[in-house]
Amino acid sequence: MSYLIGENMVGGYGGADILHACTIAVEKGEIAVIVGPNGAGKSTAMKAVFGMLNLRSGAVRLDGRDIGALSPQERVRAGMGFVPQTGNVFRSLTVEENLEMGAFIRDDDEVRETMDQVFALFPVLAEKRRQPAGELSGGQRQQVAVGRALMTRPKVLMLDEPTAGVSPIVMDELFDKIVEVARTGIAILMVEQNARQALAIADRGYVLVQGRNRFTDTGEALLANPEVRRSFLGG
Amino acid sequence: MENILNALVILANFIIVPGLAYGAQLALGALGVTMIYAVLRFSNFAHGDLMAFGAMLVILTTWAMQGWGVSFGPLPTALLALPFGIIGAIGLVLLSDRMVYRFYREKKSSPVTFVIASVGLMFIYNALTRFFIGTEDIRFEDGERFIIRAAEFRAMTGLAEPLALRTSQVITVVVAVAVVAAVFWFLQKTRTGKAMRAYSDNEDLALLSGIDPKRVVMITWMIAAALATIAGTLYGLDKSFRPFNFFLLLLPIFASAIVGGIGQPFGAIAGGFVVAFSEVSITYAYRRFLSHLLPEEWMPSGLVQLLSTDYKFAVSFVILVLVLLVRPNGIFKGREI
Repeated sequence: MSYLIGENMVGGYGGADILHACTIAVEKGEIAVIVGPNGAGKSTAMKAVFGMLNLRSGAVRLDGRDIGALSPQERVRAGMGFVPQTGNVFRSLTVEENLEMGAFIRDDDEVRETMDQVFALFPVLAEKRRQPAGELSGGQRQQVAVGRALMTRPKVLMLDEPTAGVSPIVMDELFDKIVEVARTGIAILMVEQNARQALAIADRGYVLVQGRNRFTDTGEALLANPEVRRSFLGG
Repeated sequence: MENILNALVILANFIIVPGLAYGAQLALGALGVTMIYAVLRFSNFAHGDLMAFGAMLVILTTWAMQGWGVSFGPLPTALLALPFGIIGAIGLVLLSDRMVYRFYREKKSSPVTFVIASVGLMFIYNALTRFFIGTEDIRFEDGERFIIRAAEFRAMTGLAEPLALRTSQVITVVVAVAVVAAVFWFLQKTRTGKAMRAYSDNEDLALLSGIDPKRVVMITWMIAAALATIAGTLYGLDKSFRPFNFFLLLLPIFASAIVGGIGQPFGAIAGGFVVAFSEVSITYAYRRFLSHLLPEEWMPSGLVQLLSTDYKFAVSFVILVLVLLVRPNGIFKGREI
């Protein structure tokens, strides 16, 4: 029984189905990565898990509880954090205000502590706390986006292509941070274009093709699988 | 030396003081327009008539208070009546939102639909105002009218030129500074204010963060109604209250918001003063000003007025067109229009 599982998901954005009996699962403290060619339905699968599209059949369960009827906002309250691929920071708000807004739904007194934890994880954000997020570099902005999602103290963190458009060095750095986040016991589900690097840190990898599960294994095993290498990792 | 002082007094009396007061009124109006634009994403054409409606409520309350013998000493009674006008205006916009805008929000209509709906509401507000208070010019300023009278100033300084400072002008500037400071404090420091900015910046992410859009929309309307009532009352105190004038004010107000960068509160303030000073300085006849500075034989024969005051609204138009051509985002980089 996985901590978060989207099981046999079938659905799309109203027209033809994009997902065909697709299953994605992730455990606490683990990193699950969804890879696959363009148009394979990677982001769609993640959005389905987060409740951003209606499923025709299948189920989404968080810690054994069926959350299929919850809206994305309600899923945030249930313990899921989501970092969209684009528009994932409040550009005109400062870094600190971005984090505060991340914690908007919390009404306890420990928001400060969580913010300090985020600053400890991303020290560069502590330096730039008073700067508008829109003025930061691409990599720093992604850190703000991840930090904002962490402010709700989620049990699951979902990242839609966190390294899109950042340099290889920044990408490695971001992946290191993601591993650090997973070590704190948070389940991480992410969609990645940079399949090779992402699978290298993944406990579990899903290769999707046309909305179906093609290969599912540990990241290491997928990287070693000759067929996966040939078809999806460029040899 | 005395010539230069006289010239400066003329400038202060006819351009600086009236420009500051008018600029403050425009700034308050534009601040309301820009906040509606930032959060609800449409240009609210009913804002001018909302100012008229709010000011009308203030005038009716003022008359009632005068009837009961309530007065505010040397200050206009209208200041005491202001809170009642604000509450009434808030009621009106919340009712409008409930009955008109909410329907289009749920349908996710395009901004142009909202603009047209706001034009409809503009006519309704306008009709309500005229129904209750008529179309005539109304002066409702009471208390001490002047802080410095022209004759006193002459006697005090010995200069040939007078400087008059009316109470309403000083009140306008003081109230505007206080209100703007309060709005900025609210937007920058409070949780609700930050949520409003976040919602304006990125609606999807704000929803994802658990910010309640209904609350943000409601508070935005409340602030806009309060700003409109204050701006309308100050304008009425400074000049006079005539419902049609508030409709005409819509153009300089929108020009102010756009010059400053629509959606940017700070831009609305700057834009208000840019438009006000352009209007006042372009339509002022500089003959007397020059008479103190130029020798007799150099004096021009005309009034040295760039544009007749009849054309003062053209100034806003020209500014609007220039900004849209040269810098469509405005001074402070507002949203694309």
